[in-house]
Amino acid sequence: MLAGIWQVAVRDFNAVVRTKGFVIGLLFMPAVMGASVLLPRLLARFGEQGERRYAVADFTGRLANPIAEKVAARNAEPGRRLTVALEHVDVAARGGDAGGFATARAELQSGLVDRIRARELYGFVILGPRVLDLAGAPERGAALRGEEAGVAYGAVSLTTGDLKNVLRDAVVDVVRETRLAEQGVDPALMRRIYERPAFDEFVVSRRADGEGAVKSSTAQESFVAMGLVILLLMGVMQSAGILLTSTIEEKSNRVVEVLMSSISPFQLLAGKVVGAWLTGLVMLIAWGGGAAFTADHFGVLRAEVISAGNVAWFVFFFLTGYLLFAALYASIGAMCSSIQDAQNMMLPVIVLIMIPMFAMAHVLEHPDSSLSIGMSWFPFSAPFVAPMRLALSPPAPQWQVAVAAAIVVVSAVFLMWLGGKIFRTAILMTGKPPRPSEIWRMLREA
Amino acid sequence: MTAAAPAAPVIVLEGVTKTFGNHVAVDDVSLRIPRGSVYGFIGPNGAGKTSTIRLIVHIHLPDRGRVEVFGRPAGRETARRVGYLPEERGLYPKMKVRDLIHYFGKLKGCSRGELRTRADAWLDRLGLLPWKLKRCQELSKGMQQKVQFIATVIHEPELLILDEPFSGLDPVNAETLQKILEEFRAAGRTVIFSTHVMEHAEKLCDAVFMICRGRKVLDGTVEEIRARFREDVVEVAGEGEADAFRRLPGVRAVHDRAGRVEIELQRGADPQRLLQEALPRFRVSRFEIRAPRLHDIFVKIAGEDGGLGGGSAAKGE
Repeated sequence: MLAGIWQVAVRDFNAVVRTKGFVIGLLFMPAVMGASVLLPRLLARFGEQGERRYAVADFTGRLANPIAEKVAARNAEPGRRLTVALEHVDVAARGGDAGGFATARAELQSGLVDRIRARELYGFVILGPRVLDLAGAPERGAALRGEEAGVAYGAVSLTTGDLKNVLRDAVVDVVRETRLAEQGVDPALMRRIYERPAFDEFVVSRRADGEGAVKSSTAQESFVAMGLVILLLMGVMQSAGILLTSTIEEKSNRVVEVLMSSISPFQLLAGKVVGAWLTGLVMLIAWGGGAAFTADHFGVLRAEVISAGNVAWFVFFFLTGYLLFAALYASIGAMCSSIQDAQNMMLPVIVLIMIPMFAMAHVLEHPDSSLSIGMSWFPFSAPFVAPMRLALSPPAPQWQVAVAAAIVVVSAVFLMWLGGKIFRTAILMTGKPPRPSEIWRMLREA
Repeated sequence: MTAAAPAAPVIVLEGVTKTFGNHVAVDDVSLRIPRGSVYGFIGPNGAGKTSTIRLIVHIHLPDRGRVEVFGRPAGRETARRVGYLPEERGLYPKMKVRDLIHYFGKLKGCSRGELRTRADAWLDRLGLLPWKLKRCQELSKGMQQKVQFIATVIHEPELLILDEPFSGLDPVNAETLQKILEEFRAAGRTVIFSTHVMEHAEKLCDAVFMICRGRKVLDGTVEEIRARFREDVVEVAGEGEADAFRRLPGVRAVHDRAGRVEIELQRGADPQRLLQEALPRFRVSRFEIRAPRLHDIFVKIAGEDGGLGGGSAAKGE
């Protein structure tokens, strides 16, 4: 009995783990993670190169030169591939009163657009005549409104490079510095005044035997909790996916009937479930270990999060959560003769998998809300949300985790029982996957 | 009806019925298969051969009736002593030949040591030794079938059940398989195989079991069955008038076919006497008591039965 299960598990495990694909897959994930950091930098080297010409129309008559200086400094930054060339549009003679500015601006802009069409220019920046006014100054009204007090930026593309940022930063800096100078304040002094003080975040454990206050951050806390959920989801989906494909393979290869003459459907199912779980475990240990090592290296993991008790819970929820989905996947695999058939039946399961993904942001912000507690008790999200709440501070109370564990175990056993009924009937069927009414009959008759 | 044999039956089916939904696949079938015999399962497509076999190997459970193997109810314990090659058979394409044979052997409870020597012996015998470490998908279809056969017999089963073992085999391999089956019988093991090819059944089987639309229609030794379906027809060739036979005793009808005469005898009439009576009147060059081939019996039964259910049964051959 057990020997048969073990033989099947070992075969299924070896069939996956001893392939190049699996080893590549193990390395692939970290490689993708690494690439997501390195790739943008690498790709930047393929960015557009050259000079983009902008017209600057300065209705204040005082800002064009300092802006040009700031832009020149940005152009000189190492590694900058796209530079900005500025062309000063003489508007000193124009504008003045409000009505005059609107007309002058419209006229100017249409002229600039014509030049952009003619490819003489890439874009323009128009600084209104009252852009240096101070907001809330009583003699000028409450807020800076209207085109006169604003800046208009136009360019062929708003997404190319960071040309917009170069010009916006230059304009904003120059406007601020000029206003300061007008008020008799040294801009350099102002910068020193506005320097942010260091703001160190500490997470404080309520536990009597806890670590007390530990340096952390919102980003760090979120990163660890979400990383854990994603790791568990990937582990479960990987294992369940292997179970699905190997079941379909055995059906379509016609190996199943030979197996059925040696072992019972239960032994086959149990062996396959164990084999696929071991496969996922190897992967989880590799990825989780790698992730934990990296996180620890950067000091993001609090000792309380990776306490022995928590790690035991994580493994527990990985196993039981996997069993829950394994029951669904094995039933679907047994009913389908091809991956295509299976894909249609997978849709409702995919929706179940999405629940913890959607819940993640909410649980992060409100770990103790009734919705979060509910999510950690709903069978299909519990294996992911319950561990997530353990990884957050304040951690979920142990009794809530215990309830979650009980719910997952009961659900997994129940689904395995149902799945076993479907499996033993469906595994020998050929042809089209059964309709819902036929599945119902399998459940009733088996 | 049952083949008379002193040996205890290896398989006993008693009033076995199996239905799938509204379809009755096996209908009240009783059968006893004696130890050491080669038993042929014949019948048109969809008649219930495979379902009957699956009941014996405990893949299906009967709705009604009793299935006993080795004197015990069919189950996992009896399965270890049975080698079963299903009609729809396959291999794991990515597994190595040796690993695959070992896997199936281990599932039947063989030890690693046993498997190592036996697998090599079988691979050698079937000319597959050089392919031992190749993946199954690299083998030709014929070689794959041989590997499947080895996987079926690797645990040295006392009872071997083969569903359509000859389909897809070339004549050389079919010959090899026949030899192996004869060895199995010589070693006192029991072999059951289903086939569409009546020549195989006639040549290899001690007894046959024919199933048609789930019901048992024939069961007995090949000789018994052929004797039972004897049509009392004598074929004579030679020189003389066909009419000469008409007046002889025991003759029911005479048909003059080109070059030969077909004489239908009355039930119980002795062909030997007919020959004696005929000799003075007819120069006999050939005299044959026509015994029906299993093939003809099959077509006759399946055809009669198929008349009810459309043409599907007649396609069996």
